[in-house]
Amino acid sequence: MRLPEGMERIWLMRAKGMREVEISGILGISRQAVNKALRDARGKLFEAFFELAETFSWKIVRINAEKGFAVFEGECNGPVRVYAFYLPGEGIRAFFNGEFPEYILEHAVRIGIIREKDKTELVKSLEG
Amino acid sequence: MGHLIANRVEDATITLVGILALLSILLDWEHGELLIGLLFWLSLLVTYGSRVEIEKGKVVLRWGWPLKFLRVELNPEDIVEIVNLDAAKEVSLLKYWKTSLFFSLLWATVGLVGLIKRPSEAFIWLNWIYWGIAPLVSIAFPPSKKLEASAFALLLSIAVALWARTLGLESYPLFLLFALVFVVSLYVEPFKESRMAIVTDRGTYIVSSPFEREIEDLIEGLKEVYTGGLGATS
Repeated sequence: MRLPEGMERIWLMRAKGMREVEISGILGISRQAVNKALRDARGKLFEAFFELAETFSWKIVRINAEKGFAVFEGECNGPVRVYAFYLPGEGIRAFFNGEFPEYILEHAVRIGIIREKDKTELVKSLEG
Repeated sequence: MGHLIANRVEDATITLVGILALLSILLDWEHGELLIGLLFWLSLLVTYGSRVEIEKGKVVLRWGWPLKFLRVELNPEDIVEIVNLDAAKEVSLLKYWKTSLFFSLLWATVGLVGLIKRPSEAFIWLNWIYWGIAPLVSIAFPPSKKLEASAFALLLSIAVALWARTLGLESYPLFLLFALVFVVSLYVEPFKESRMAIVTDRGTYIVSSPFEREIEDLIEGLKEVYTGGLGATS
């Protein structure tokens, strides 16, 4: 699943912490249009994360559509934690037990989930 | 499908009851306790969180007993985040219900001021202090910190019981009994509460149930709403 380009752009600006009024100013569109795009993006992200959980029979722990991440609990020779992220331009990527590659840490810093590229810090942020 | 335990109406009434109680002590209102007592019990009925349902693709929240006085409908697009607070073992309810700290402070202040102004009613004021702080046992500690939460409940109860004994109250063991209730509520179903936070543009709603299954059913219902299209009926 990928968000449509325009919607994704607006969602990413919001995920980085910009206010709706700032986004509308930069893009030269109405605030209502920004709000609608954000609401639609949230709906699509929830849908995608729910479908992911459904496909792999993962238990939902947390879904955050604003920052585009989800935490699941799976079963693979014992309980495993699964962390999924929506990456702009790519779609959803999921990782087991906090084994994040560099580009996920960079993404997490870019959208403000964490301040510095640190796996432990990222797990802590995602978990609560 | 679970009950609501925190919402803005409830927050407002808890604050109102606390502030009125404080004013009644400070200004020596005649029949103040009666008015506050009535308000407290009435507010419990009005803000009693009823069942959470999914109707015509919307999450419908209702409050009130026996009549449903208040109703809020959440569109799927209103929801920013959902958290299964049982499965998210490191998250405390406090993160989503920060005002509960203010309530604790307010109710404890009422108790302290009451003890100073009207020491003859010490049992009532100690209860304000105890019940102001004690709910933090289940609010401030995440599911992974049950031992710490139990220790907090025990220490608080012992402290208030000793205080009550110092003030000459014979009913001081009651507070130790309360500690037992709190500890049991952390470990034993159906006394244990399962919770879920629904964060929206309009605020955060906490859904609670003694049965974990009910919270999972609600998440399942939400899943059907989203994956069946935003206008789906569950």
